[in-house]
Amino acid sequence: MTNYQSQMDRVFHALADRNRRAMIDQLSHSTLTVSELREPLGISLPATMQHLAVLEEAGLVRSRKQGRVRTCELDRSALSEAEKWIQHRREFVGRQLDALGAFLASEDKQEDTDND
Amino acid sequence: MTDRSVVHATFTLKRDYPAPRARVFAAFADPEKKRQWAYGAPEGGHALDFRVGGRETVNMPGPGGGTFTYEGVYQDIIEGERIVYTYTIDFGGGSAAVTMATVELADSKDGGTHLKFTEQGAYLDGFDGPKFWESGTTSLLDRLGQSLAD
Repeated sequence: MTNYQSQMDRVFHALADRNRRAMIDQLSHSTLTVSELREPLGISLPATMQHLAVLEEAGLVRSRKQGRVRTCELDRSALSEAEKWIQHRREFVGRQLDALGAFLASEDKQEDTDND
Repeated sequence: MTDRSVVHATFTLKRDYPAPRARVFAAFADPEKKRQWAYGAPEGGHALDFRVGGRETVNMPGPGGGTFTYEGVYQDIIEGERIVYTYTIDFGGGSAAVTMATVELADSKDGGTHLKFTEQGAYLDGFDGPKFWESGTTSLLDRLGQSLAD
């Protein structure tokens, strides 16, 4: 098995768990402490630490300890510039489609006003 | 020589709008409507010729001080149902992406419209574009999901 394949196995294993996917989702918005990560999931601290270890092993998340607090962030180092660009593109189009929804709603309002 | 690379990717976004298909389609077909929702009001201009073979061009100031240029050509149009277009995106340092978009519209149960947007492209780097794609969201997961589906 190549290194790439075993790395992918770790990634897919990490993503197979709902709590770990939720952790990644949270970290996609901001850097968080372990307790901040744990709170919305309603799981124990040891369970959170175990999930974190799996995510770190897969190279998806990195954490560091500052004093008594461990902070976690997504590890984007594996992404190439082009991959980051695709992420940006996807988010941009998503915002445009949301803007279309707002535009359609404003047309509705306009129509209501016209009918008054 | 700079280090150039390309990634080929596909992403799909879906939205449901509480508006009939004809109105959602019109928001893409009508130049004034599209300018409003898709681009705000670009200072550099926006032109849209909505017919097969027609072009859409957008020139607007980018966040890094450069000019964002978008040039598209409509390849397929089915009134109220489907729009396919190809385009290039440029931040001032040559094409950053060469892509194809497919917009599919379907009636949803509640009288609204289900929209499916698919973009397939060659995403380039090594260009001198501003770095305003700083943070990703869940797209890492989505890409993995995509690769699983392939």
